[in-house]
Amino acid sequence: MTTHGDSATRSGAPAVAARTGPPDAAEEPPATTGDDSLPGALSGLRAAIGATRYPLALPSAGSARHTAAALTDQLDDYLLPRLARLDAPLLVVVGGSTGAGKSTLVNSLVKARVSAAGVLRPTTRSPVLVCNPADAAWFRQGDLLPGLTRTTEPSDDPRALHLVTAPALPPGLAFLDAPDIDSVVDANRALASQLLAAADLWLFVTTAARYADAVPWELLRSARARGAVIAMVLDRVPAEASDEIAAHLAEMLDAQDLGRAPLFVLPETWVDGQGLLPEAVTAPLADWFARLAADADARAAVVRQTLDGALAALHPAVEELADAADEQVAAADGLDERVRAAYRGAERTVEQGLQDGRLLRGEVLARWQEFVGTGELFRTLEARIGRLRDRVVAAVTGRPAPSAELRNAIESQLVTLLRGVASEAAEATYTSWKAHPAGAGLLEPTLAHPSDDLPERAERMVRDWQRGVLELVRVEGADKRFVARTAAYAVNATGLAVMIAVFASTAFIPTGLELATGAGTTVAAQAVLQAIFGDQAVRTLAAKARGDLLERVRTLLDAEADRFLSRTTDARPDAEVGDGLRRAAGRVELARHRSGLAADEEDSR
Amino acid sequence: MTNITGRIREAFRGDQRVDPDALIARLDAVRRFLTAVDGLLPDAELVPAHTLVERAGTRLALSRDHTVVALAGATGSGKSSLFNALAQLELSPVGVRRPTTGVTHACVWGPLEGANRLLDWTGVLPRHRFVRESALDADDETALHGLILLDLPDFDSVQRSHRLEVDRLLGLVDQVVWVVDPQKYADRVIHDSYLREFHRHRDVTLVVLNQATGCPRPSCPGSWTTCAGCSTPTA
Repeated sequence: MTTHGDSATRSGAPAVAARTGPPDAAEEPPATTGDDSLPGALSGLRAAIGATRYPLALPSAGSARHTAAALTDQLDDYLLPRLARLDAPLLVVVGGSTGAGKSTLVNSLVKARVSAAGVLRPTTRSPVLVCNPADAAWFRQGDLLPGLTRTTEPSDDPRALHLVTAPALPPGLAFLDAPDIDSVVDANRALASQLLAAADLWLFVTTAARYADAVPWELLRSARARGAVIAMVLDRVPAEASDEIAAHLAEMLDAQDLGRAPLFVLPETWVDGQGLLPEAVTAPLADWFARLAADADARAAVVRQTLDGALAALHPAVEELADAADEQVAAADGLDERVRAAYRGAERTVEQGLQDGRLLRGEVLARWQEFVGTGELFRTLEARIGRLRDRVVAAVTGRPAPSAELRNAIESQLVTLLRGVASEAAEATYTSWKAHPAGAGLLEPTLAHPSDDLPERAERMVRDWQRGVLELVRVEGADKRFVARTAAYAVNATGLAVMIAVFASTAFIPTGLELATGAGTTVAAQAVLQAIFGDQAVRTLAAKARGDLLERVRTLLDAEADRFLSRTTDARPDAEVGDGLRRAAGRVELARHRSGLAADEEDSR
Repeated sequence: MTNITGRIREAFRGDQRVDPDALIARLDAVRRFLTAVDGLLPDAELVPAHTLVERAGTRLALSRDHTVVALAGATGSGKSSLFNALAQLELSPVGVRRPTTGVTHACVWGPLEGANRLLDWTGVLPRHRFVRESALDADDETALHGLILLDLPDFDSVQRSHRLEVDRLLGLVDQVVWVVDPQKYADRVIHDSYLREFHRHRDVTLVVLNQATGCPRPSCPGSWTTCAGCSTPTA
C-alpha cells in the first residue's frame, strides 16, 4: 500500500474539522421571516431564473440557457433540500474519468458489490447511491435530486437513481457513484455534472494514466470556484512509480490552488473474487471517511462549506444571466431601431418628394396642363354648372374628363412613390436584420418585400386623401371670408388646384404658363392662375392637405414597419428581468450573510 | 507485445504501399479536371479539390519513396512504448509522469538524407530524428525501408500546446495509427474530435488497443460496436 507522504497529516483529521464555525450555528433553525429567509430568497431566485427567456439568437443566449438550466437543477437538486435539512446525511459524490475505477472503489469502501464495475467503457450509466440502512429513508423520500426516480434494482435508465443500503457504511455518510465526466456518451456527462453539483463532498478519482487529462482539471477548477470540499484519489498507480506520480499530482494540485484537498494514492492491484480491492489498500480512505462519519461537527462543517461556496457562486452566475437578459432587451431595441430608421427614411423621402416638386412631373404635369390648357379649369372655376357639362361631354365622347384623369394621375404617381419607398425600407430593414445575429433568426423571406396588399392599401389611402381634400375645400368654403374670395371656384377644381399645390414647392408655382401660352390661353386666365396659387387661402389649404397626406403616409408605413416590429415584440423579454434577477441574487447574498454560513467562510479564509 | 508489433510492422511493409506513379496519375487527372472546369463550376465547390492537389503535390515533390506514419493517442496510452517497440530501440522517452512526450519524434527506416526534406516539412526537429536501418542490421529491416514513424504528443492532457501540435501533424501525415487503451478508449475527445473525423480516411487509419492484458479477451470485440460510426481496422 502506498500513501502519499503528506496525506497522512492532511487526512489525519478530516481536513475541514478545523474550520468549524460557531458550534451552535448548525442548530440554528432556518429563519422563517418571509422572503428574507435563505430558502425564501432562493425560491425567489429560482422563479426569476425560470421566468427569464432568451429567445433572440445572440451569442450569449446559448450559454445563458445552459447556465439557467444548471442553476435551476442545482437549486432543486441540492441547495433547497440541503437548506431544509442541514443535518441530513453527508452525500459524497464519486466522480472522475471513465475507467478510473470509481465503481470498484465505492464497492470496496462499502464492502459490497453495489455498483457494476467492468471493462466495457462507460460502465456506470445509471447513478448508484449507497447509504446506511438508517439513512435510506431520507434519500428515498426524494427531496434531494428530485428529478431522478428512485429504484431498488440496477437499471440502465440515466434518469433513475439506484438506491442501495450497505450496513458496512457508517450512518451519516452516503456515496453516490456517478457516471464518468468525459465519456463519449453525452447523457453521461450531463448527468455527471448534475450529480457533482449536488455533492456535499467530491471524491475525485483519477488514475496514473489520466491524472494529466484536461477534462477533469476543468471540472476541478469549477469545483474550486464553487468552494466545494474536494478529496482526491489517485488510483491504479504502478507500485514503482507511485512516489513520482503522487509528487507530480500534488504539484499540479498546488498550482491550481487545490493543495488543501486530501490526496489518497492507491496502488494498481488485483481485485478479489468479489471484485473488491484488498482492505489494506483502501484502509486510509476508509479510515478518513469513518472519522468524518463519526464527527458530526466535521460533517456539518463540510456541508456548510460546500453549501456556502455554492451559494456564493450563484451571484456571478446570475449576474451572467442578467447580462444576457439585458443583452436580449438591448438587441431587441437595436433591431427595432433599425426598422424605425428605415421607415423614418421612407417617410422623409415622401416628404421631400412633396417639397421638391418631384411628383409634379410626367403624367401629373401633362394632365395638369391638359386640365389648364383645355380651359376646363377656367370653365369649372367660372361656374358650378361646368361640372355637369363635363360629365355630359365625358359621357358623350367616352373619354374621361381631364379633371378625372388628373386625379388618377395624381393617384398613380403617389402610389408609385409609396410602393418605391416601402420596398426600399423593407429591403433595407431585411438586410440590416440579416447582418444581426438575432435578426437573421427572426426573418422570413416575405419580409424582404412590402406586404402583398400594399398597392391596394396605398390606392385606397390616396383616394381617401383626395376625398379628404375636397371635403376640406367644402368645409373651408363654408367660411364666410373665404367664400367671398372663392365663391366662383368650384370645389372640385379648387380641390385639384390644392392637390397640385401640395406637390409644388413654395418656390415653384405651376402656372401651366408654357402650355397655356402655346394653347393661346388668354392672359386673363394666367392672371387667374396666379391669383389662385398666390392666394393665401389656397396656400393654407395646401398646407393642411399636405399635413393630412403625410399623416396618412405615416399610418401606411407604420403598418408596414409593424410586420417587423411585431416579431421583436413577440421575442422581446421584459426590460425588467435583468434587474429582477440581480435583485433576487442580491437578496440571496444578503440572506446568506445573515444565515451565519458566511461567517464560516470568513473563518476558513 | 512482440505479437502486436509484428502485426503492425507487417502492415507497414514496403510492398503494401501505394504505387506513387499511380497516385501521381490520379492526381494529374484531378488537376486536368480542375483546369477544364475552371470558370464553369462554382469556385467554392472546388476548394477541397484545389487543396488536395496542392497538398498532395507538395507532399509528392518532397519524397515519393517514404511513407509517414504517425502514432497518435491519449496520454498514457503507450504511444512511445509502441514507438520504441516498433523501432526496437529506446528512442522516445517513456515515463510515468503525464504527459510524457511533449515533442514529436521521428524514426526513419533507410538513409536519413532522402527523408530530411520531408521531415523539415512536417517540422520535426533534427535532434528528434533517428535512423533505424544501419549497416549493423541484417536484412531484417529492409521490408520497412522508406517508413518514417512519428511519435506524436498526446491530445488530451492539460498541455494545450500538445493538442495543437497533434492537430497540425495529422493534416500532414500519410497514415495514422490510433493507440488507445482499455482505460481511455471511450473518452469523448478521441471519438468526437478524431476517430469520427477520420472515418473518411479509414483506408489509412489503424487502431491499436494497447495494454489489453488486464482486459478479459472475449468482451473486447463487443466494445467496438459502440463506435460503429468510426470503426476502422483494429490490431
